[in-house]
Amino acid sequence: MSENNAQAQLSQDDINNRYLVFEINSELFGVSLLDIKEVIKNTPCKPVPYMKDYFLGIINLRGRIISVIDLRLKFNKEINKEKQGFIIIVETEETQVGVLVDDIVNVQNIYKDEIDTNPHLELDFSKQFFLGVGKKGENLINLIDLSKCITKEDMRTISK
Amino acid sequence: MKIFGLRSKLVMAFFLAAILPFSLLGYFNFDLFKDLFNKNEKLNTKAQHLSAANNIQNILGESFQVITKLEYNEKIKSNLASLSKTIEKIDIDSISENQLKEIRKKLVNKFEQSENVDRDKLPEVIKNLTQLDNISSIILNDYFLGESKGPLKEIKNISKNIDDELQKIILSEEFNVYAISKTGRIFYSSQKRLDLGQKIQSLKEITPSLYEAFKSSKKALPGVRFSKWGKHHFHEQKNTSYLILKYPNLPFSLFLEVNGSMIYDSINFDNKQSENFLLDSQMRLISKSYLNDITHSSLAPLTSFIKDGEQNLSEESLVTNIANLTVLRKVSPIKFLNEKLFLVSENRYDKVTLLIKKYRDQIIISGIILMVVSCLFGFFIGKVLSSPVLSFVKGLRKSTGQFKNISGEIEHASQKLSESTTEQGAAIESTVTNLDEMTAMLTQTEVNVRQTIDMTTLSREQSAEATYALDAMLEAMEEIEGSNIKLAEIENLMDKIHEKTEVINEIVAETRLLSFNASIEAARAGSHGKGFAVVAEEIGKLASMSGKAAEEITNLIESSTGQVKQVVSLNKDKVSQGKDTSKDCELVFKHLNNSLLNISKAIDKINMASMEQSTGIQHTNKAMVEMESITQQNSDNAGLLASKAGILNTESETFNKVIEELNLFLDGASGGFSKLSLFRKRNKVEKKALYEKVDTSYDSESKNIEKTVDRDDDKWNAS
Amino acid sequence: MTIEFDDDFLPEIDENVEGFETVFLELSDKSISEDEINKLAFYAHNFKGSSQIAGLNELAKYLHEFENILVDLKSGSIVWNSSIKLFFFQWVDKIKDFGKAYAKKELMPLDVDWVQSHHQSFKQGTVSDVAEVKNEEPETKSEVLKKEELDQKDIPKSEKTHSSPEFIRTNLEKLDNLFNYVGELVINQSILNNYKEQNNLNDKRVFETIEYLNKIVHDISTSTLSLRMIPVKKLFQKIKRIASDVSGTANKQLKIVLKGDEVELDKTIVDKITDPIIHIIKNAIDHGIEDSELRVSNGKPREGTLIVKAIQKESVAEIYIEDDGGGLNRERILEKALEKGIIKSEDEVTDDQVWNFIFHPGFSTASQVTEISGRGVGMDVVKKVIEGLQGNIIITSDPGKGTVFKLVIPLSLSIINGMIVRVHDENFIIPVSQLVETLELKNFNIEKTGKGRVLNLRGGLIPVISLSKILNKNKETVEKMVFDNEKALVVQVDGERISFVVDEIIEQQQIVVKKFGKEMEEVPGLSGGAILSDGEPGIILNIQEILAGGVRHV
Repeated sequence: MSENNAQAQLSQDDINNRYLVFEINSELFGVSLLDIKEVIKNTPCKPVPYMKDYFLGIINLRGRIISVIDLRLKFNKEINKEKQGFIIIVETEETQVGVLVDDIVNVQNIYKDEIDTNPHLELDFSKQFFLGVGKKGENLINLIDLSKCITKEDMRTISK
Repeated sequence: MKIFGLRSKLVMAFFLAAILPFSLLGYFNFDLFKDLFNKNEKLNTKAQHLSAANNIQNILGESFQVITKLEYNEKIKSNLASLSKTIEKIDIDSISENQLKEIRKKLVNKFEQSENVDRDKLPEVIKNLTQLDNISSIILNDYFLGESKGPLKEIKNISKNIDDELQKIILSEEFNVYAISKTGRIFYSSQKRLDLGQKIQSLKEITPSLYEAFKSSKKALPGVRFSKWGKHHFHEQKNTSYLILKYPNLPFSLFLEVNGSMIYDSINFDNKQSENFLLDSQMRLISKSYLNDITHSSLAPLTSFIKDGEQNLSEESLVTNIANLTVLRKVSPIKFLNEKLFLVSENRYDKVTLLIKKYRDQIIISGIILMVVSCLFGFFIGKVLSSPVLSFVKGLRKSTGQFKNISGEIEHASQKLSESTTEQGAAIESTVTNLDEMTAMLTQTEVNVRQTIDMTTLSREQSAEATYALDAMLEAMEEIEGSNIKLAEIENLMDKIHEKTEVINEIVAETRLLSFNASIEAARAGSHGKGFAVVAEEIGKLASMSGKAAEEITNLIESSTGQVKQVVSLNKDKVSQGKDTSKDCELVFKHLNNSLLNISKAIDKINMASMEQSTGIQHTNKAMVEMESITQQNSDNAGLLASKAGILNTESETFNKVIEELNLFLDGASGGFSKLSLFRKRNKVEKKALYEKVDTSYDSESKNIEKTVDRDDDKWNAS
Repeated sequence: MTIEFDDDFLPEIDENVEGFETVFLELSDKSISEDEINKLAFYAHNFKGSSQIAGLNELAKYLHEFENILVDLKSGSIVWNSSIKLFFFQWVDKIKDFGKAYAKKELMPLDVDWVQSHHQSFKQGTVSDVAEVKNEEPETKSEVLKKEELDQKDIPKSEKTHSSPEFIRTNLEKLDNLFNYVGELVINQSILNNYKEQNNLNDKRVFETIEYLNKIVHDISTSTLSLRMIPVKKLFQKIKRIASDVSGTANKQLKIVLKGDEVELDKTIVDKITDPIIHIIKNAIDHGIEDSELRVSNGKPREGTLIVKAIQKESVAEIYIEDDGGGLNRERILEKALEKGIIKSEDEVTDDQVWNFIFHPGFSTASQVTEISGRGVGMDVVKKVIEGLQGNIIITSDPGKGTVFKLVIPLSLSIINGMIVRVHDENFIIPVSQLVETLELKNFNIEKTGKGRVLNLRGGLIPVISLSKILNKNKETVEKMVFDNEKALVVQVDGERISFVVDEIIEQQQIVVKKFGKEMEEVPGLSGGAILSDGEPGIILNIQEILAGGVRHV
């Protein structure tokens, strides 16, 4: 039975190998499940003054106010208007921030031997939060640490 | 002589008596008349000769001018001028031979005086001119002396030759061609070399490029059109184009053509003095000075127009000027003279003609009167002599005529009777036959009618059945409509299903999200979450399966909906079509029914009528049989009558003959009454057969016949 | 031996410490009553017992020694004097420190001998140690403080939880009320469900039930909020103690009056304003109150008076700190201001503005730096804290007569009275506590001056600032001089009244404040988020922060 097999498989899996794979502009990215609190549909955000352009605004998530940034804009990718988009709620020790992406693909295991930390590809975001490239079959998944995208310096345009 | 009657003889005699003197008169004057007519003819010819001479003089004069124009000769000019003046002073009526001679002498002198003439070039011309001179003098002489010599044709030839020669002279070695626009602006020029005597067939020859230029200029300069060129005349009557020609040896260089008539003026582009000569349409030079003297006012604007280039000269005034000029151009001193001479001769000719006419008329009128009178006289005498006799004869003739008439009528009538009875018999027979046929037809008709009645009854039954069938169809239609409604309901349901699938899709999306969140939670729960992770994956799979299923449902629904809609609309169409058709059918059947009813009624009527007809025919048949026997009796009686009438006729014939003899004596063969005898002769042969039947008991027979005839008539009317 | 750190013991420590302090503060310098001794003994005995259960033997001994002193006091072996009182404060401070260390699962050694030696000296009647001890205090205090500061930074992020759990003491009555409300809520819910089951939602009783439901929810929210509220009494007690300490150090004779200690404020707020108030008081005592001699020569009573008053207004608490000292030195402040380049010239500077110069960072007119104050690193922090709480400080000073510090602080951080305003197409929330008044702009003549637009409000010219411009919302370059229906909201910033233009005032509402995440921390002017009545998140603006300038683009 597939269930049992899956279970057997999973029993070997560590949470550390589980990644949420999402898509921005047809590129695949992976982020560790540990960093994620939940995933929701794209909802309209209330904009906030003095914030950068990729700061979409704030939303009410079950009574809690969460800021949302547009990862597509931050990565300087084009916005695909047709995709509905999903917001990934990233949790750091300081705060929770929503991150807008095109589509959620799946939850996958990516093992350490499948990760290449010296890619020859050129990527246009800083290496601060770039963890490597995972190879799953034909797909290349860029593994990133989202918590590095959401520092407070990153987001505001003014300060006191 | 027997052909003519007394009267007519008398008339003829008197007529002759009247005619005789006149004819004698005519006979003796015959030659005189003949002479007169001849003289008229002669005068005609002479007039023609004169006009020819006139032309010649024209040519002559102008030729002189051409020649003189070759060089600017003041002397000649002055001579010419004086000559023209002299000519002007000539009085038409009092012109004398001497004066004419003088003129001729002057002309000849002039001719000899011409200096600087290139005699080499003019041998022919001179020869021709001399010839012309001779001929013209001859003609002139002839006019007064009454002799005519030389045919017109020769003159024409000569003048033609002169023309040709002139052309040759004029066309010198080299000349320039300028093209000028309507407004007087020059837009083309070229130089052309031509051999002496070369005739210019067309402008194309001279200036092919000019031709092209002209052709293209049609677009460039509207209004400027190309001249059609005659053989060697630069002559165009309809176009309004212009051409300039410059002749180095001749002092003219401008052609100006306006509205059909050609007018030429000359301007010397080299700023020499403008020339005083013109070329007319036939390339003949005209003394411009002369024309100037006469027509200065007309020409001046034109020349100024050309000299100054463009001016505001209206086309109309131009045309008028030119028209005037054209008219005046024809006037030349010599021609003027010739014309006058011509008039003179014409005058005389006319007078003679008038005389002759007068004389002739008189004779004719008197002759006619005489004839008429004599005829009347003769007629009168004849009448007097023969009238009493004639009246006596008339009376006799009348009675015999009457006699004859009656017998003729009787004969005629009896014949007719015979004919009619025969006809009657035939008619009766045919009637009987017809009646039989009719009876047969009637029987047939009855049979047919019976059949028709049966058929109509059958049709009515069938149409009733058809109506039932239609109703059934309508019912079926309604049922279809009902099913259509059901289909619409199905459609509705499908829409609802579609809605639900949309909801399912929503749920699928949410489930997918849920599965992700579940995975996340499972991961965060660490080792405790492993089982849950499996659950999450399964949820994800379920979601995608549901999604696919929902998609398939949607596709199915869409295709089904499409199909349903199609079916519904088709059904609707069919139903409405069917309904229409059935309605039409109903109408048709109703009509059919009505018609059938009508037919039945009509047939009944026919039936009745035919039965009546049958009875009638039977009656008629009986009557016919009776008729037949009576007709036979009539026929026999008619024959008897005819023979009696014939005998009567013979007697009257003998009497007639005697009368005729007398008539003939009085009137002759040409008398009017002879007609009757002729007529009689014709019919005699035909009637002989009939006459032999008639015997002497003419009166009693004729009475019998009368009675029989009356009876017949009544019986015929009764049937 | 190994000690198990028990979180449940911490409140035990706090309660007892509080108990001690309460009594200590009431102690007069002259004598101690038997009642008071008994109270202290009671606390000490209980505390000793529970510390023994918790395995804190040293603490038990520490307490035991205290008990001995008390016994002697009771018997009269020890004569009461102010130095003993001081000692008591020191003694309880040590327990406080111990408690703090215990919270971090550290065991601080308690010097039992030190207690004993003092005991001896008290018996003997010597007080000389006290001064030493006094001098030590600030140092040790500062040391401890420093240590605390250092410790704070090294807290490892081993767990993804927030800081150590905090506790609050609350009125049992409040809890009972809450339970009652909740009970009624449950009942109402079942009633509505019943109607729903019967498909009977059009019944007019449904409406009544819903109305009742609204009331219950309102009560619950009020009640819940009030759970967080504590009376400022404790704060006042602290104030009293510190004031007496400071006055002692500064050698100023002081009378402290505390009023309105029943006023309740949100615990967080109380915690936060504690230090600023203390700072103000220290300043007042140190620089405000003159020497006794000077006072007398000026005709003032010998003893200086320090009044700390708390008044509860509708949604704010007003805390007055009033002294009858010499007042703020206007010239000196101006001098310093010119020196520091805060202003260019002395012209056109109002008193209010002058007083507010002291909030400038690094500003101090003190000629010498005392241990207590004078470092000039106080008032700006005070202002910052108060304003961070959506509060306000207003200074009034009368030279020679005294100074009043008025603190206006919202009662609670969780629910505020918010004014919802519309700027262009967006709504913002402005806490009512920050507003002074609202104006209808079409009734005013706007004039243009060199500094911008102003309007005349009862004789004073106040600048008119476009809020949309400040929020970088609109691109209009030309400022409107004539308005239709726009309103102006007046705030007081730095002693100055400023008005800002909004397109529309939508309504005033009780707003539930939700904190922003840490990522929004340093964005000025945005003090928090809120969930509006339509479920949408809203932004609460801190107008004073925005209008006070000092915002710069990153």
